[in-house]
Amino acid sequence: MKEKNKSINAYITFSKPDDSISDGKLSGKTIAVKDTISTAGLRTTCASKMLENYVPPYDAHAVSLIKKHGAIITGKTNCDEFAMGSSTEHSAFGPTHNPHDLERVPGGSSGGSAAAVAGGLADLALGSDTGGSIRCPASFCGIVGLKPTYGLVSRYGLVAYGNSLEQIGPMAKNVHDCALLLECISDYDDRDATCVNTKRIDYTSHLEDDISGLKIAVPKEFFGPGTDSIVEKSVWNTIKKLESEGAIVEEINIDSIKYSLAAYYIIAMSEASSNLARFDGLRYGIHTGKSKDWNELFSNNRKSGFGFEVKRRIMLGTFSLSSGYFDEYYIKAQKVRSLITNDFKKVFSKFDVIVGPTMPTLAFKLGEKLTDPLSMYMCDIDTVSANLAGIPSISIPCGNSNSLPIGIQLMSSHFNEKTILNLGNRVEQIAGV
Amino acid sequence: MPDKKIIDPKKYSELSKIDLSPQEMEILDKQFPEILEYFDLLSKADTSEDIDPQTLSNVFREDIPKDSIADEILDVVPEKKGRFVKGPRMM
Repeated sequence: MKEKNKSINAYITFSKPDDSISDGKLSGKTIAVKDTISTAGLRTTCASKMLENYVPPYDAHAVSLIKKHGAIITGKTNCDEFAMGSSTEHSAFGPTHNPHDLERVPGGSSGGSAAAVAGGLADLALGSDTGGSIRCPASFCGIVGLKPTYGLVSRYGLVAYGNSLEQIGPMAKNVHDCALLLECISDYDDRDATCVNTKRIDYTSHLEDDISGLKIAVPKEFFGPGTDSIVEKSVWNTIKKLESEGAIVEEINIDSIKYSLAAYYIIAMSEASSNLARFDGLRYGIHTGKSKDWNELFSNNRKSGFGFEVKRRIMLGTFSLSSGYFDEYYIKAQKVRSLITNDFKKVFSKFDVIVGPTMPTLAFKLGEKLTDPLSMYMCDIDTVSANLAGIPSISIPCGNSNSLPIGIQLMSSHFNEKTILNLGNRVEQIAGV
Repeated sequence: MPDKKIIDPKKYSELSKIDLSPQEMEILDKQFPEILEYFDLLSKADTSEDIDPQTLSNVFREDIPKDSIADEILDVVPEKKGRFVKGPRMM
């Protein structure tokens, strides 16, 4: 595995063999864990120099659960630093390469997790998704990735970036395994105050393939400017096949989607500026030495520990929350978030599922967007709405172009993961990818 | 929306407690107006109706003592004195 990892760079840290593995639903399954998710006794770096030598004293709840269910944790996977990125190039440990084409990105930020599964370096993986960070790499690497409803999976032990948006979620080679991992990690936990105490579902035993009568909405905004024609064609081919199997398909407009990317980035960056204030080098993380002045010491620690993209986002977030700009940016973005949430709720009062492309393009070349942050942010145009609205969303392979995978995205109403897993199961069968 | 030209990277690096190199400062000086121009798209969104920024409520749990990992947390502190985290002088 270590040899194979050299070309892909999916892992930052490998686990040591563990003899105390219990029996459960995940017995015999190898699972890679994104390096933003805390693992007791196993280095958790968030792909940052800031936490290069940080070993957490506790497990994230999701990690405790996969251990309880008998999983073998293979190691910690590369990602964009503190989950900030769409390509897994913003890592202090070097970029991850897409197993389908080593000159291309695997997507991000959970790119190491996706590449580990796609490259045969793990059966399953845990990722985290703040604005598409599970679905984007799942799409680019040709695997299945699901962002759960906000509150279904405990965020205890997930290093916070945009805490009102993000969830830990499953990544797998197929829908069944994705459903299996989801049912193992979706457990109520009072250590995360936003975790919802709702009935947990046995997703695998409910997987069906009859989709007749299922109402599918296809928002035109998901095929906006910048959408690659090959992606559009592949997604529509899949939708037409679903229609021929009895699904009722209708094109719709959700006007507020056009504001989703701007609202998402303002909220995520604002939350990042607050959440990452804890990294001052005093209690953990990089420590640049003695200084007479606390201001100088904190600023030096953060200068040495953070990469450029993290600095950029913290500063823009600080700006959005600062006096004189708070109402114009942060509050406005929160109002737009409510607008988007309400619009999605209206759609789900008439339809069961919203369908569109996961990513507007195929996996791009390493370095292609690295110096143009706005163009990198635009990659998330189709995924961020689900995070703003807090709804579940899954990416499933639906085609290929020159051996590069294409993903279709399915969204449903809050806590309705069952519906997108069922439809995903059928998509998987008809797409035959 | 405010004038995009007043986004001063130096001011926000100080507020964010992050030292920046002159090169980083120069890059951000060019990139911030472009990013904020895109964010200004939100000014076109009609939020004139009485839209709640987000419906939030407090979540409480019973205050029951549980096992603590305080010792393990202290183990990863770079500089400490006894059971205290040692920091720089505040004044």
